[in-house]
Amino acid sequence: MSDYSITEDKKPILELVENGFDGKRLIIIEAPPGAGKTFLSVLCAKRLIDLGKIRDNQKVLLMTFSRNARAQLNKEAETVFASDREELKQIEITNFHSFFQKYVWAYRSYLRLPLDLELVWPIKRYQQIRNALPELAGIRDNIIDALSSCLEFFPAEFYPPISFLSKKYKKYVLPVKDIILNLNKEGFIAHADLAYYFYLLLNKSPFVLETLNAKYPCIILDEYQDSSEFQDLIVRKLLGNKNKGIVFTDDMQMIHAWRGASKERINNLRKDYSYSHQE
Amino acid sequence: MRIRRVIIHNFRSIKYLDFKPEKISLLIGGNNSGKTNVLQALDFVLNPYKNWYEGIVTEYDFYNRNTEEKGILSDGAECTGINIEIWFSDFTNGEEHQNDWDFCMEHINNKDEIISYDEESNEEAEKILRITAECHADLKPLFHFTKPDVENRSFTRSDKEKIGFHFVPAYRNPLYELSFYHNSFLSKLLEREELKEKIGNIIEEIGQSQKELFEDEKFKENFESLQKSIQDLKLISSKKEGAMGLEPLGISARRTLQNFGLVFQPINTEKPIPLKNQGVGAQNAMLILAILQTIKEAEHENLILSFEEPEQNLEPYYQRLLVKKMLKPGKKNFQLFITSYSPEIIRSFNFNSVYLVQNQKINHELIKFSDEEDASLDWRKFLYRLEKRNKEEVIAGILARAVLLVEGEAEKGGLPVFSQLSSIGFDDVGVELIWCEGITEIPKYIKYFKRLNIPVIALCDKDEESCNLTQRNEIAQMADLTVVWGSYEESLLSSLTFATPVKFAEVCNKEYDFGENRDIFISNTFDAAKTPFELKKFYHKEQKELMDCSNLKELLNILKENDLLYCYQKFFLHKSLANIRRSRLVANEICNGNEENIPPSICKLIALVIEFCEGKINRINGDVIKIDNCNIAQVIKDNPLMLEIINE
Repeated sequence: MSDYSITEDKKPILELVENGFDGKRLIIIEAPPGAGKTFLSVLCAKRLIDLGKIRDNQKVLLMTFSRNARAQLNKEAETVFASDREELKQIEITNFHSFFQKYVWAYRSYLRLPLDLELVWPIKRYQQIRNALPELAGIRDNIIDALSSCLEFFPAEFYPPISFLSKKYKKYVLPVKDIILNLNKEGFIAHADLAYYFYLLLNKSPFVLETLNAKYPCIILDEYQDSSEFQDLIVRKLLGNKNKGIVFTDDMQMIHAWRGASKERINNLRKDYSYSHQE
Repeated sequence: MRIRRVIIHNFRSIKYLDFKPEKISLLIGGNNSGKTNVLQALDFVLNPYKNWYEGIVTEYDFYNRNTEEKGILSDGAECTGINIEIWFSDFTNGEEHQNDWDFCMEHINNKDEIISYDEESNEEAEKILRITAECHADLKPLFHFTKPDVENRSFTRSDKEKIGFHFVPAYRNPLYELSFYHNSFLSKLLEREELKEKIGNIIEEIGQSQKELFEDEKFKENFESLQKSIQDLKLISSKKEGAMGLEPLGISARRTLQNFGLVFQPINTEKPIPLKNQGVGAQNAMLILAILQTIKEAEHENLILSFEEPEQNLEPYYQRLLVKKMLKPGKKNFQLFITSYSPEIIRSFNFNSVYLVQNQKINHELIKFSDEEDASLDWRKFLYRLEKRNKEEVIAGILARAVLLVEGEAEKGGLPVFSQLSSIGFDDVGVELIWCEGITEIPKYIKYFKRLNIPVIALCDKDEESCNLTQRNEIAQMADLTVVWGSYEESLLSSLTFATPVKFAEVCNKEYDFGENRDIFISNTFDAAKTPFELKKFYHKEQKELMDCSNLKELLNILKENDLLYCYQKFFLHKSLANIRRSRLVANEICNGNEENIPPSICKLIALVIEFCEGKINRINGDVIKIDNCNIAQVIKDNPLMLEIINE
């Protein structure tokens, strides 16, 4: 178990992983940039696999917010698992949107989305919304962008306030939501819609959530400060009743505050799963 | 995980088949009915070790040899050529997400319809995995997950391996399976990763052992002189030692193991004998045991075993024993398919796991022996009784070409005796006799056998007491042929043997000694619940005289004088023959091994059954029986669906 070059400060965390999280569900690690989080998260995954905590059919899910972070994780994994390439099958490195997209695509008939489904880029989406609602024709792109990601703020049935929109534009939220849902049915889906459908899948299917819970007994989340409220909700679903999680976060690096990311979310997570470790 | 449904289009003899197997499914059916093709279809899709590049599919594997044959898939789309779809359900131990199968799962309702999240039945939806294999005119089979969302994602060898399907065909080779060939049962059972090192050691030892050869002086001398001659050519090193040597070459781990064969020491010999020199039956029994052991060992792996005719070359005792073991493998993730003709095998199964394979014109049908879905309580009770009380008889009936339903035990015991003595009898046309326990049960038996598409002949007594007309009419409507006659007892009394009371007395005395069993002949017959009125009346009047008879002949003579002999004989037989064994004995006594002694009515009945089986008697438009140039039976005027045997 001492194959890796572990610096002093990472040891306690790996020990915690080895000791079965000291009986807790969640380890929250606050770390500034350059502390080697990416490397550490891959090490944790490897340690879990080496300890036999991950059965043949199971995987450790390493999920990041951005594609860049995913690429870095992949690079670290290549190094850490260089001598045990078979074990690479037992980890899955992905980012939120790709992860959602894979499932939404695989279950699109079930979700009543057409088989012929196109992932549209923001420019096209803005155009489609403007075409459907001519009143929005002259409105700035950043407002349209906020409106067009509104599905990401509709966890299930409730309607959270989209605080960053001024009163003037708030009245467009519901009409735009309907436009987007229609576009989806017509075969156009945007990245910002994926979480909505993934959450629908987890909530409605009698077995998909169960299967995911069984498939990923441990989830490692990077850059958690950038996740949205909706993503937080999904993570809680994925943690289920007994799965474990390692959450890396860095308040200093919070770059997506306008998307609804917040420090409070980490605090709630910490409270709800009652364990944390400060680096 | 288990196979929940199999839908086959255009594969070999199967134009179309939709089959929902149980955890244990026994397929029975006649030769060429398509049993094997059902299992072959599974093997075609699920066997990971078929090498498709070698062109295993040929034109002959297509229905009607037509690679363009069409079919309609469950979603309404048209398919061309071979299309086999297999559904899996009941996943355990995380099978549903191995190899990322979780992307391929689909939601179905209890009607096996694929549903979406907003449908009413969604909450109870079950997960299934569908696989499709197709093959078109290019003869290159394609295997993919069926779910349209995953866009023909390949169903790979690795996926197949997870399913753990094994097919043991009728043309199996126990010698192969019990050797260390790749993927043989013996290999599966004994070979493990850990063994590799040991095998390496064996190969090493063989290499070392070449030194022994050089201990032979002559060998060494010749070897070294050969080495020297080659060295003189300057082709190889000029070192004195090791310039030429011996090493074991081409000894792979597989080959090393294959050099070992099983040997057994039979009970009565001193030395072990190789498997191939053992009897074929013993080889088969050993193979089955190896398979059972494999099932047991593969505790955590899924296993779907399809086994053709496990009875092959086995004596009935072993057949029963092995099937019993097979049915209780003590393993949860195990599914079994068996084909068989053997009644010994069939009777070991529950009726609701036995399927009759039938090749209809446009589709194949696998009909469950006992299908209780949506059945009335009355029908379920009947099926229960059928299985619990006359399983063997029903199995024989299902395996027959036609069944003859009879009311009582007398017919069941006696008719086969006469039939066997006839130059052409029931066995020649494949007719099986079923005793229905009274006329009221006959319609249920007709319904049961008709459901399995087995032709039914019903035989009813004409005597008014036991048969009311409505019942007979109901039977005539349902059966393929309904034959009416006086009664079995009347038929016996028409035999030459019973022409005189003397012979009747002799036959009866074989079973009961009059001296010791007077009650049977006197009070039990004259004064029983259903005794005809005239006999009863006579008994009460002449009781003393009857009691004074010293033997049966005397009794019969008294009855003859009073014109009651026929009435007495008929009733006595009726009472006495309500027992299969006794009836069999009486029939044998009547015939005494001579075909000419078969009572005439019974001869006619047998002839009629044979004519029916040969297609000479038919229903016209479903409502009239047609019978040509016949002097043995006639159509009943007021009920044209019935034939009455003519008495001369």
